[in-house]
Amino acid sequence: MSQLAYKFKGAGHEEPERKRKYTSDIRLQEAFSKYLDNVIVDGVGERYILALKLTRNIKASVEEVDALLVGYQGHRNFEQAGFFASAIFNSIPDKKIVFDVKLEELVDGLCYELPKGKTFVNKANVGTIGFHSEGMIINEGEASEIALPKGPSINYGTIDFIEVGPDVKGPAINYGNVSRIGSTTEPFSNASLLNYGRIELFGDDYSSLIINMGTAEHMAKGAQKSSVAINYGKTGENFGSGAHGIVLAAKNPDSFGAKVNARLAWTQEDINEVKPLKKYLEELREKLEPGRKDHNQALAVLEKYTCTNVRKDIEKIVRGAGYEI
Amino acid sequence: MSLDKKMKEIWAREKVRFNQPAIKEPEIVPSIEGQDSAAFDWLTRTIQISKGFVKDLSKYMTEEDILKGCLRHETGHWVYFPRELSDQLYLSSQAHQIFKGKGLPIYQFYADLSNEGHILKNHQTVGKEILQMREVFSKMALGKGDKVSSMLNNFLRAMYANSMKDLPPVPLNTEEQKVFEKLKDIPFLDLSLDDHVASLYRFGKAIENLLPEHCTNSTRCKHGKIDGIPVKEIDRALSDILDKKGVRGYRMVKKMLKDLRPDFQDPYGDNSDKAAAIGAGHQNFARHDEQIPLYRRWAANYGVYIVKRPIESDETALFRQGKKDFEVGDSVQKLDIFGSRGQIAMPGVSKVHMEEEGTLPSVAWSVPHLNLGIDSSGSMPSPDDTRGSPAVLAAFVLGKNYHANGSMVGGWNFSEDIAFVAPSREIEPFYSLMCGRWGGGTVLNTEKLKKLLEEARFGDSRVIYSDEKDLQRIYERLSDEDKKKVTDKSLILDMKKVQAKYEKLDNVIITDGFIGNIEDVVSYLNGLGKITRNFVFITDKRGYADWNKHKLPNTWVYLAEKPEDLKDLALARTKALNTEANTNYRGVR
Repeated sequence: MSQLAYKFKGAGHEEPERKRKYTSDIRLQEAFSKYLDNVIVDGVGERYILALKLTRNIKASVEEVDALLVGYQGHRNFEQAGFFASAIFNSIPDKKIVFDVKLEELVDGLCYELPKGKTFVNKANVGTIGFHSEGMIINEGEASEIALPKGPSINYGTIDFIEVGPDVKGPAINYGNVSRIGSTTEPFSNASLLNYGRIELFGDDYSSLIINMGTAEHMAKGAQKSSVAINYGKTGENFGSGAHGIVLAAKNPDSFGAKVNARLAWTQEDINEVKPLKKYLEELREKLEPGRKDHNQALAVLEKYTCTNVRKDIEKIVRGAGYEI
Repeated sequence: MSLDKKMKEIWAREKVRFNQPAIKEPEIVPSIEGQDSAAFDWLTRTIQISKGFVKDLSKYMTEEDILKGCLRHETGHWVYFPRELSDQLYLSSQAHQIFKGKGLPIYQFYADLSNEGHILKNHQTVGKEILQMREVFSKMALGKGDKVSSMLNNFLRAMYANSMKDLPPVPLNTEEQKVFEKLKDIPFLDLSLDDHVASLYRFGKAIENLLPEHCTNSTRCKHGKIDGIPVKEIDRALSDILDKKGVRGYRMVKKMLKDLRPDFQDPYGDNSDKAAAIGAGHQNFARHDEQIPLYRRWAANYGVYIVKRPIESDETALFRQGKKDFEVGDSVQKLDIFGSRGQIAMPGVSKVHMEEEGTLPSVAWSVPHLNLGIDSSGSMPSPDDTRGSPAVLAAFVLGKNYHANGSMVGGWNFSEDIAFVAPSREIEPFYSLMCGRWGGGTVLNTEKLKKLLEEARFGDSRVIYSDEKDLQRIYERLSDEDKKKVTDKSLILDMKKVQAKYEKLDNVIITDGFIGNIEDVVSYLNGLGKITRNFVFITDKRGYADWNKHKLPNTWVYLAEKPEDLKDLALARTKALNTEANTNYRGVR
């Protein structure tokens, strides 16, 4: 019976045309779509782990990830797409990753756990980036926040907040505009902060070296006992108010706030009286000056002039001049 | 054989190959917009091929192959890619936004790539003509000195060959090979719309620098042009885009249409002058009337079934009212037997009763009026949010459906203050109210709300704000006894006073569930539950879980987290009705 049926052609139909074999690798697209559909909104670590699981054995380029971000902008969980991008960026051999995709919505989670030796350059407008990254983050665009980076953070663009993490191995240097650079997480950071640009709130409650070569509206307020705050630039009212560490105005601020609690709180006139200190601070300024144009030079100086070294140097000079500290 | 006849013969075979697409017989035309080309005309749904185009190509190919190639290509746009006008507009708008002036040419090349890719993939016996045509286009472009077009046509061929094994490889020169490295891995078939955007972006980035600012490539298919698309089709496509790609996609397409199709007038309106005329504003209440067309269109995609309930209303009826002299032609049934002095149907002598229309209070199953409260506190998305606000959408869906059922629509927009519109048959003030935003925290002032409802006059569509001035005005009108109640901040709803109004209303609240004084609101709903039915739409899962714990009488709590949650929604006793239907009619045939 089945043999007879086989002999008859389907009524009204011709034999369907054979198809060509089309091959393309769309595993990345599938993984991204799955990620966005399933991403857990609570817990940044979980988002990154999900992205890692989904991108296992997938090789992709920065351009492919950029294209996916453009394509999926309407997705309800698009804000979390940065963690997926990080999983890819961290796995590819490129040492320098430049992100310059114009997106309508701010994406969080870019350069999450960026490995040491890699550099992430942001030229776009992004959300919170840099969680636990050990590589270097350079912002040339706009970012909401660089949150808890472990490596150096350099800003040429605009950022709302650079929150320096507790285990930081690199400094934060600003050439652009930042609303706030500091740390809110204990144990406080020991990385240096250097400003060549403009900052609203610079090094509040901070615990390490704070140097201003640009403009800081408010500087070193409530800085910790281990901190050293030096102003070479323009600083607003109440410089170092409530600070417990060393507060030095190599150039006088609009008003000096550090008095009662600070280990050492000297104005420009006070410093001028102690010639070796004036010389030391002048030398440091000259060394930092070339860094105005090249962050690598600034980084090299800060590597040598750590907070501990500068504090010890200052203590030695001040004690040598017969003052108590 | 003439060209027309040849085309008819070929089309008879090709339309079978493409499963009889719903397009008209193709035409040979003198030219298309002054150019020699082939195109699909959206207005007439016809494939057009210009005579000159066939003539130009016939130096390299037979006329049969040219016609086959053109017909397959243009039919492919209808059948395979982009297939839907909404997809075409969406992808074009993406390209327009990313690549500006080069956007449409880039989209057109990409659409050709995906379209021909589909044809080559789905029909193994087809391909020779399409590949040959691309090769010829390349040669012709080179002959005209158009190096870019020549390269692009080679790229398309090379991309087909790269992804389909049985196609011959395409030799590329060093310059072409350099660009092709970026193109070769781009997927272009069997993709979601989002993936197509991603591929389009990569494709565009690879060729962007090759294209001149004003790309006038003559060998490009005219398919992707926005000019000729009928307004009606664009209107439908916009609704599809809202449904498929949400508010972001819709806004992008509208932006592109504004640039490229200034003649397109949105039937849902492009401005809100009408809505703006509903009354004075309030300094803390931000109006977003410009969003009304968007939400009206979006809401049109959703229908809601509203279960009727018995409501007392004035039915019209005929009453005997006076008498008149009988005239020939009057109904004898209306004769006043006793007042006609024994003369039946005698003109001028006999009397007939006259009837006049009057009202009769009666209880009938009908759709109640709508009293909808929308939460517009800071935790709720703004109506102009990138993805739109599901809460505002829900409000529009409900308003539209109640209004369409002949009911009055009104409501209140609340955060810490309240803006209120009494139910009326005017829907624009309702829409305007729903698109407003207070911001701030959410403490629903049930006292203020009760007073506003007590004072409300149905049919008056002015917006009233619950600020101190309004309350003072209301307070002054109250009796001494009521004044005392307000001063004492009594939360007990005076049923008798508002019962007549509330009985006619369905009471709806749309919120994310995070209301500071939830106990007050529950108490308020409890009171209302005795005389009317309540619906609470919660736009947050956590809020929904919280609200579901409260066992409120005569109150239905729905989750409206996403627009999809509003699909196939029926308000009120659907389950009960199904059960009744099963009980009453099961087994009855």
